[in-house]
Amino acid sequence: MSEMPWVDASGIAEAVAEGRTSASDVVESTLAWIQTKNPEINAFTEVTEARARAEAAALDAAIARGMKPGPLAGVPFAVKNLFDVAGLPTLAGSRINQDRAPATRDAVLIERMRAAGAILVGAVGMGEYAYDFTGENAHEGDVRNPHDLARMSGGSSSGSAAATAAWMAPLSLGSDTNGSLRVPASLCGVFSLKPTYGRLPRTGTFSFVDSLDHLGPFARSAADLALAYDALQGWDAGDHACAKRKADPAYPTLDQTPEALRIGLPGGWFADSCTEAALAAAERVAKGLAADGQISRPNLDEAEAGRAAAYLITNSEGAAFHLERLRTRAADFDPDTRDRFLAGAVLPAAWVSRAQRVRAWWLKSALAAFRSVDALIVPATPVSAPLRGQKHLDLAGRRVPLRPSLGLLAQPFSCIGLPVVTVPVFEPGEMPIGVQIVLPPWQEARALALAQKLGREGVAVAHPPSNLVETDAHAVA
Amino acid sequence: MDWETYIESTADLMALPIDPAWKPGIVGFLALAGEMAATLDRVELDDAELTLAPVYSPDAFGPAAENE
Repeated sequence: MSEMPWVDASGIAEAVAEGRTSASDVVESTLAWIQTKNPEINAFTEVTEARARAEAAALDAAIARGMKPGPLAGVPFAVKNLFDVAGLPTLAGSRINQDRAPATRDAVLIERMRAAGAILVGAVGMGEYAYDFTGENAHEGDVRNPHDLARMSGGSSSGSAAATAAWMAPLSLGSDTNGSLRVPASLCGVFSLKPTYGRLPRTGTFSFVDSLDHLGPFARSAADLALAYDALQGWDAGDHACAKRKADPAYPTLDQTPEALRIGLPGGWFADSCTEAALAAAERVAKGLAADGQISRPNLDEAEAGRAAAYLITNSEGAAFHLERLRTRAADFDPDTRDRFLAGAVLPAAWVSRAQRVRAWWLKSALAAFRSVDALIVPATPVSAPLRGQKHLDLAGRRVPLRPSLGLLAQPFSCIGLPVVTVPVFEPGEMPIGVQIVLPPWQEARALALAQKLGREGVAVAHPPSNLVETDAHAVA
Repeated sequence: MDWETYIESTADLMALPIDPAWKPGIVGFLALAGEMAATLDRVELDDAELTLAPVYSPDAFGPAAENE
């Protein structure tokens, strides 16, 4: 058994900055842990050992010369394999992309992590072309849930969430088109941030649905999430949807929580679409934030149509993006992905046009709800992790197909671009479930402060998988 | 709805090769898309309820933006 690695990004950065350890030591313990744990979890598709060692050595040398290290000094991180990594083909979870030439430059968000001192330790698996909520992949194999290897990790940022949950990467980056940062965070029991659409540049990543794609971090605490988010912010010319906004640092205000928070806990369609356990987790979060009992139950049933709009826009726009690959290499797709893309390639245009109008209508409804509440609290998934291979979910007496339904509570919010922090709500030894904290546009810093409050009060904690706790190794941190 | 016939004609129009073994899966997803479209039809949209098209902005790509 390998010694436990460092698991806390802020602790690593502090220890490296103070000279209590070196980036090289942190990287070595992380690589050893990946070698031990990854074979059972199958998160990594590429471990960039040589690169990680070289970057760590360079950072240690710079610190020895007196350079002040960045806020993520020596923190290992992993990226979903739709991020360009110089020297690797950008797979996006597919067999087809294995034929692509290696990327010549890192994605912009990797460059920003590096500039802050973080060390890339590898690329991790994902659902093919990000069209997935399960973590299953016919080419790369399933990414397994670190809390129970028989269960789904959630997708499509499956490897990112699993790597962070299993201590193989204190931070990881993923993408979210309909819920791919939030579903795996929920199933694997870690924190994630889906920022406002347009906040973080997607330059150097492989698209799925341009008008819905977001990038964001996973971490094991709100503080680590804020550290990563602050390192990632800023406009970039390479992403036509990136908003020209000044960075809004979250870490400095992380412990500032408004006194009288008005919390909205939607019932109706949201409550009817999930299990009692998911509702109980959301209730716990709402009570943790609205200490003086200011919890309202707004009717947000427009979300059902918002979700339907997201489904059709995704299906059509995603299929159009892959049309040539569907024409020439359909047999090389993952069968679960291929059939849905092929359906999307022949949708009636009027359905998609109406979906765009309904999307705008749903945005107005959601923004109106924020006149009477400061935050909306919604379960991130309707259930905790299903068994791998499961094909249906039973929700409120209805049997629904699992693949499109696992993210149905997340879909309404990415389609209108709202910022969401997903927090883990479970006790040690239980299967995790996540809860979304949804705020008005551009309020990521406030959402992170709310997540931090929940962490301080013990409501939202990324408990390690029990099989990790049972090891007799010790934490260096 | 006869989705199999629909697939055959539209796939031909779009030059998409469809293996017969894939049809049940595609039919399932088209039927699901049809349910989503029906949900959208139930929304009462006013004629004034429109959505903005993406608008080309020259400074989003050029040197002006880089100077900001």
